[in-house]
Amino acid sequence: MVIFLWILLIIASLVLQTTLLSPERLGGTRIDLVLLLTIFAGLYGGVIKGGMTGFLGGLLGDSLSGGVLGIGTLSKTLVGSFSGFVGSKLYQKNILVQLTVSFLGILIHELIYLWLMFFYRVSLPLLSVVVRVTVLTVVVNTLLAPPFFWGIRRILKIGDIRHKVIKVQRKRRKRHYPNIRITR
Amino acid sequence: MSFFRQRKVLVPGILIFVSFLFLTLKSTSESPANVFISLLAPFQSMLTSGWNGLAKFKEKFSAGSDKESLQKKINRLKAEVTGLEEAKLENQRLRRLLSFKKRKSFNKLLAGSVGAEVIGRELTDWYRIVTIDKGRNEGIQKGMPVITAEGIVGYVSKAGRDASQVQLILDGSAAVGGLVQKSRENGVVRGTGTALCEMVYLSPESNIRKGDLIVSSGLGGRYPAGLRIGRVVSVKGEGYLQKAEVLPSVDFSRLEEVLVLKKEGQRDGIKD
Repeated sequence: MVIFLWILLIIASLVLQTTLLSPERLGGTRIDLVLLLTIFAGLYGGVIKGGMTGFLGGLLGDSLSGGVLGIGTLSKTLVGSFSGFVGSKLYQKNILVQLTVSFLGILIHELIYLWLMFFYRVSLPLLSVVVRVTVLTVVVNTLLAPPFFWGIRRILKIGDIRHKVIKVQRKRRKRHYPNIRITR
Repeated sequence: MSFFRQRKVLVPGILIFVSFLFLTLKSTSESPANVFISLLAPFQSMLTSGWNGLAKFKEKFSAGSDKESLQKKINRLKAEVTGLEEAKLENQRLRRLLSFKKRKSFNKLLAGSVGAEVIGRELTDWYRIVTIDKGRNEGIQKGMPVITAEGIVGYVSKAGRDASQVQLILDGSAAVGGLVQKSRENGVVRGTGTALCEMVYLSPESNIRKGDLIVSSGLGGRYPAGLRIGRVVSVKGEGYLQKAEVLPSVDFSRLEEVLVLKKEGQRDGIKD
């Protein structure tokens, strides 16, 4: 169930990115929902979940972008694994942690992506344009990360049946044993 | 426990290795990509048409207040159309006088075209592509030129079953054989990845100027001759290094409907 929800989230992110959230509609600003989803998966789910989300999101993104297959896949897999590695050592719910990991993740992604494009001789605009676009992307997406993570957590909570079962069990226990305090 | 620890390194390691493999193979993976483009097309179409419908409704709502100014505009345009009709008739007469050899007409070229709606935009900042809602089922094939009434849009870079991807002339790897309409000088108009294209390989004696209209030359075989590309906004360099910045005739930020030209009609161009 959760796996399907993840795949659905990746596809929904891609659809949104290519339609309502395309740079044309947002005055040239690119919101990379798949990348944010990858960082979220790593931060909250660990290295494996982060890596897998990055791999799948990158692969599907590459096939949609019309460029060299593997550039987005590699950069997103690396970022997912990185955020998973860092996330396992930090308190993920702290907004500063979210901002820092997102900033580093997005920056690493952009640098790897550009380096691979340069390596594969994909023609890029002038350096000044590249720098401007990259800085804008890093700043906008970093600031968007905390509300996006909050939204995804809410969606996953709705989709997670286990969570609902636990909630019902807790309510029942509270009803039967009102004096017992349940801690996580 | 050690298995889980191992797995934490192994799984990302394998995924990174596979990603490298994709890169080393330099795979373009036509068919899986085409399948995925077609798979996403209905969702993209739904969202885009919903959004466009909302925008049109909003436009209609606000149009009422501008009715008076629009009426004036219509009257002015009507007068302009009458003038243009006169010019068209005069043009036809002059052509007959000059006994121009009639080549395949523009109408014939358009007869073999397929109208399509833009349903998706590019995913990254570095490629300039759009997704259209027509694919192989409607006879669209890779390489077909895509135009609007304003001029050249690009060509079909990937053709899925029900949707296709169009590489815009703005893309860094796009190139169109161009011709300065007034002086008939040849060059190549290539994308820069930004909102402007540049015309290069101009002759050193070229006297290309700001405001000159650039049309397709038909060289290269991809695009028919005589289609609008854009206007020169600035000229840089001298001699062999001379290049002109070209603002495309098509407003790519407002691209909604396009025409895909089928190959049969494109050989002779539109210079009738």
